[in-house]
Amino acid sequence: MTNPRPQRPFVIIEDSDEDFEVLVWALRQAGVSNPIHRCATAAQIAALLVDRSEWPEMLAAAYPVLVLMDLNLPGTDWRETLAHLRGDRWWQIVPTIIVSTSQQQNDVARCYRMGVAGCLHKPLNLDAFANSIQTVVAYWMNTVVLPAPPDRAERDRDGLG
Amino acid sequence: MLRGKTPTEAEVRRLVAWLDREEAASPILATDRLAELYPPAAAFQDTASGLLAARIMHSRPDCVLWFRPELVQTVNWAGDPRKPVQVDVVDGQARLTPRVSFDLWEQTVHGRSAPWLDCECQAAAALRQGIAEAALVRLNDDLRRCSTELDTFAYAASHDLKEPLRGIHNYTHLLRRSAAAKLTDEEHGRLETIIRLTRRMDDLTDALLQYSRVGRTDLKLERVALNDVLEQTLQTLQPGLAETGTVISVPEKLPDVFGDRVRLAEVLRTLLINAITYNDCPAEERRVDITCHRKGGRQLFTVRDNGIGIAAKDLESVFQIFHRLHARAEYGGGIGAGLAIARRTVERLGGRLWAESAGAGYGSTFVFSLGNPPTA
Repeated sequence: MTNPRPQRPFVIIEDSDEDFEVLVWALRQAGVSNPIHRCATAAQIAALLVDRSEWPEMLAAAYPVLVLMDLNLPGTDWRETLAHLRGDRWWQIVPTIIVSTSQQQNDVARCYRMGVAGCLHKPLNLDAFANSIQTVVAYWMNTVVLPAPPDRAERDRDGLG
Repeated sequence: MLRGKTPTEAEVRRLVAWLDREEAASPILATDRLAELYPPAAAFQDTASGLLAARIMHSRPDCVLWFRPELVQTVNWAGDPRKPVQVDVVDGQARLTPRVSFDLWEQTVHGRSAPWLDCECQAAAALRQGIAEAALVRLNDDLRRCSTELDTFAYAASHDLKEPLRGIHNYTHLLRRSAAAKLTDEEHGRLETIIRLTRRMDDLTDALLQYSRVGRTDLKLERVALNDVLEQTLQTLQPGLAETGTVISVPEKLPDVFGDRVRLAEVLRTLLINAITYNDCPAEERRVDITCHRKGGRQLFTVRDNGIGIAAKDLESVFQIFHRLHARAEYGGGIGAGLAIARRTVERLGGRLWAESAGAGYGSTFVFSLGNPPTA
């Protein structure tokens, strides 16, 4: 994979350390060398969405490429997290992909209705999972045109500085 | 709960146990001489010679009891009946003579209470009825709540079990990759086994999820052309049918039914897969017949195969979740949830599903009915 945006971070919302490690492993396998910002707790999600003063340099300096999000994170309601991501001018043009165990059809429909870019299932099959991550990366990193980061002026206007 | 003057709690408990053993035709028992029916009552006959008992529900020990104290009764007799007949000898002949004493003779009767009046018995019956109805409503609510809780529990448990399971699976995989060069064949084999077991456990939790979902999901009840559902299901099973050489025959078009299309397709699919799988006939002789007939005002659908059959003792246990009658590797190595899920589904649709078989080696027949459409 040629990586056109090596500095732009991936955001991963995932509470399970094991699932996070495997997801990162699959991304690295797929050639993703970008920095990764992880939110593992409700407080970290709040910092990501509400309190931007706490952002690490890596996230504050560059615009994220993708958000990969697990639905069930203790202490949070994924519908709220997703509503924040999709309702915020700054976040809403970052493609959000759900990576979840849930195969409940109504959850999936709800996610798409809220504007997610895709729903991935965490299967009990490491190779299959690595393959789907590979496909996701190939699509979002090498196939489609991603929006340019909102410019500084727009961020300031939205109070996002 | 005891109120007023009653026998002791222990005595009352023994009395209730006795009532429970008595196969009473009526839920109301009224007596003004309890000790005659239940001799141990003699011990407390001063407080409870009379008993009016209302059993709330058959097969449950709950009851309401009223006691009446002993009423020492005085019965008046016209003369003392114990007094011997007086025989006089007159003129050398024995003859009965009128009693000399016609004094009023009084006898004291013990172990009796004032009798229960009809209206009292009726009031007890009405009270019993009222309590029984309220109890029934509560029991129904409890039952519904328990069943929902159980489903929620099964769902949450199987869902939450998946996370650590996925961790074990993925880490074993990663370990196998990174340590591949260092491992002996035996060690490789052990890692393979761990991976295989995680897959099996994943299948089991999936089945449990699916089973719990039957009770949780909303049904979409409508008129369904069962014949179309069957045809679609058969199409998806075509590869398996071709591979096993099974011939499916549907002599008559199945009627329209009232149910949930998706669930009905799942039931048919399970029954067909079972019929195809549990068959050890040579390929060209395997048959499955799907028919429908009316019996006792209900449509009965049957899926009959000429497969391995089911012994009489196993006709029910085949519907138990995770209960398999065959070794794990035999007959496609299923996990034993299909029929349990199918039965639960059919029951949710208002019908029944059962198995019939003339025994091992004589093929099996699965029969199901469905609920009637609501009358408008």
